[in-house]
Amino acid sequence: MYSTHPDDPSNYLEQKLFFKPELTGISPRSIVLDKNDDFWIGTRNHGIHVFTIQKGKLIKKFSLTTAAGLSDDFITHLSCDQENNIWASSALGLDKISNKTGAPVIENITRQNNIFQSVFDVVLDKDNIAWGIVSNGLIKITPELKKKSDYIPTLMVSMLKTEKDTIYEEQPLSYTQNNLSFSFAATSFFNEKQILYSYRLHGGSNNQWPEPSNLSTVSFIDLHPGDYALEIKAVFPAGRYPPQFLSYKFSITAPWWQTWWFHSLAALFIITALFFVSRYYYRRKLEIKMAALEKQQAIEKERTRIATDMHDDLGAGLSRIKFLSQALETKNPDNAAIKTGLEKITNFSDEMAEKMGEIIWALNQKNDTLADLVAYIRSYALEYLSNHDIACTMDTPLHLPETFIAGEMRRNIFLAVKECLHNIIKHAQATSVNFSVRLNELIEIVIHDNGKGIDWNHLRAAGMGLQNITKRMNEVNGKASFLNENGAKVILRIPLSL
Amino acid sequence: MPIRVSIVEDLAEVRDGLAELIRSDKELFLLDNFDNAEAAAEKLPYLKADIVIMDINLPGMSGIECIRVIKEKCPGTQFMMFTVYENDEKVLQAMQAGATGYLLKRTKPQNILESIKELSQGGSPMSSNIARKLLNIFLNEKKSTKKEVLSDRENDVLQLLADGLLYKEIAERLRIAHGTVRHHIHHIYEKLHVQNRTEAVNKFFDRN
Repeated sequence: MYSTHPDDPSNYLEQKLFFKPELTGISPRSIVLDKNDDFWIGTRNHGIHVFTIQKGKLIKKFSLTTAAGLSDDFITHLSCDQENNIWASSALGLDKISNKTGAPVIENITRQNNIFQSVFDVVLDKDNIAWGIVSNGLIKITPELKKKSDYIPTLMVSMLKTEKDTIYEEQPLSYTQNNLSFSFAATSFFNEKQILYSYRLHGGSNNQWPEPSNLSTVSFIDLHPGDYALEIKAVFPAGRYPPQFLSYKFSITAPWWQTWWFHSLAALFIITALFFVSRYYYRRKLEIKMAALEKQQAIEKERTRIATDMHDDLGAGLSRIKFLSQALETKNPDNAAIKTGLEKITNFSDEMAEKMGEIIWALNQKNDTLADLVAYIRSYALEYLSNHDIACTMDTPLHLPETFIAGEMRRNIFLAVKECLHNIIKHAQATSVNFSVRLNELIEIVIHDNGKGIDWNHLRAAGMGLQNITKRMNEVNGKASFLNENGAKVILRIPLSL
Repeated sequence: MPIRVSIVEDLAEVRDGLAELIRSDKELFLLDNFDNAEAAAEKLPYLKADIVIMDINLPGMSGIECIRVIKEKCPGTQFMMFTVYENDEKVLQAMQAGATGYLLKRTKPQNILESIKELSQGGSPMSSNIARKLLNIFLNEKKSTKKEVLSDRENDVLQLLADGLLYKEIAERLRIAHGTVRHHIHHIYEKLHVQNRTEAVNKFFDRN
């Protein structure tokens, strides 16, 4: 930078500042000083660089290139008008750069006016009219009217199209109309091609504002049913108007099978169906159970009938035999042989009556509780053992439960116990027996004598008895254990499941 | 005073055998015997028997029915059921009708005589099966009338009997004599009968 000295021709030009380092590589071609004393330097292929001088230093403020909106990066000429707008001439046209707010706004003056010519230079007259030199003459650019317009452009959706039709009426769209194309426009009547639009869809998956563009259509495909709002933002060139916003609401109705009432109805239907199916299932189950129970009852009834018949007829017959032989016995007191025979008949008939009593007890459905069973085997064991002069200690629960036990089970348990007691009398040579019954989830009967124990090597007659006990226990899913603990110990375990 | 005994039994052999046995004992005096309940019902109130040995299954009217009919007319008579086995439902019915004892047909001759004498002294037998059924009957009665029907001791005896304990075990456990157990049972039978009769009378009046 030089200063001039008109008074001293010999030293007319004086170099004041030298900025070679700052300007190297940008190839300056034009320069203008704006009203703020900022230097605007037009370059060859590097756009415009703006500098300010502070304390003899050249400080760069910013630069503008085609990326920021310049018509060309080769700026041949720069001018500054009365309103501090910079006019940049280039081979591709004329740009006006306004810098009122600090953020420069670039207007492509020639292009906006459909002039596509190189502008070599621009001058401004006192009325602030710009005159540009083009290859075939001058172009005149009149400044805008000072009068501020109150006009605000309207932003609107100009067209809504589905794949097939254009939608004219604002109405809920059906679920098939879910590929939508919106066209929108702002009535700025000025540089409409340079309005930048941005949009976002509320209710959709993407709520971000995308980069603004001058595309004025947007398409959405495969929108789900629901309520949406398409927000559109329009930004006007050169900040001529404030940005406009529009929220366009629309909704896509769900198909009938996705509506709440359909879901409720379906749920109701399923619940009802489940209810009926389960009711049918349980009824059927109950019917089967009832049928089985009826069958069981029929069997029990038949058993009781047999028991009654046995009691009435056979019982009468047996007592007849008994009393007949007794009568004969008293009539022949002197004949020893007859007397012994008749005594045997009497005893046999008594024994048979007793055995019959046991069978009838097992057959009779009126005795089918656990209490019946335990009380019966208890009194049986005590009576049987004391009749054979064997001491007996009893350990049985009191206040027995009335749990149902089928006749078959009762009979097997009783006969197994009876077999055990019989074995003690026949083989054990015991003098005392401990008889205990415990009830939990199974019946546990322990019969422990103080006899000689079970001789496993010489099992003969007793062997059959043990087998019978095991067999009877198997029939009621029970288990018989035979141990020798200071005598024989028989443990019968019968599960109490119904 | 010998015990006056009468027999109601349709089987001649049994009736005669029993009659023979009773005649052989000096403490017993045999009255008229009957082979059917109808005849017994007619004559028994005049015989003033101490003990009537009554078969259950008789042609025509049953032994139980017979007791029901004549029990009130024979205040001094005890009825002893003659049965094949003691767990019979009919034994219970007979007790409700007014019998206070039973005799098993298979009982040995000597024991038959003892049983008759024991009953005349106010001792009664009872099986665990019958005891359990009686427990339920008295329990229901207690619930419906809110009234103590059995004494505590009687209740204990009945409960132990229902659990399958023998008389001697009950006697040991309750620290009472063997005979006392039989007496308690005798009273239980009598209460059962009274209770049953009251019930019948109640039903009769309800109906009118």
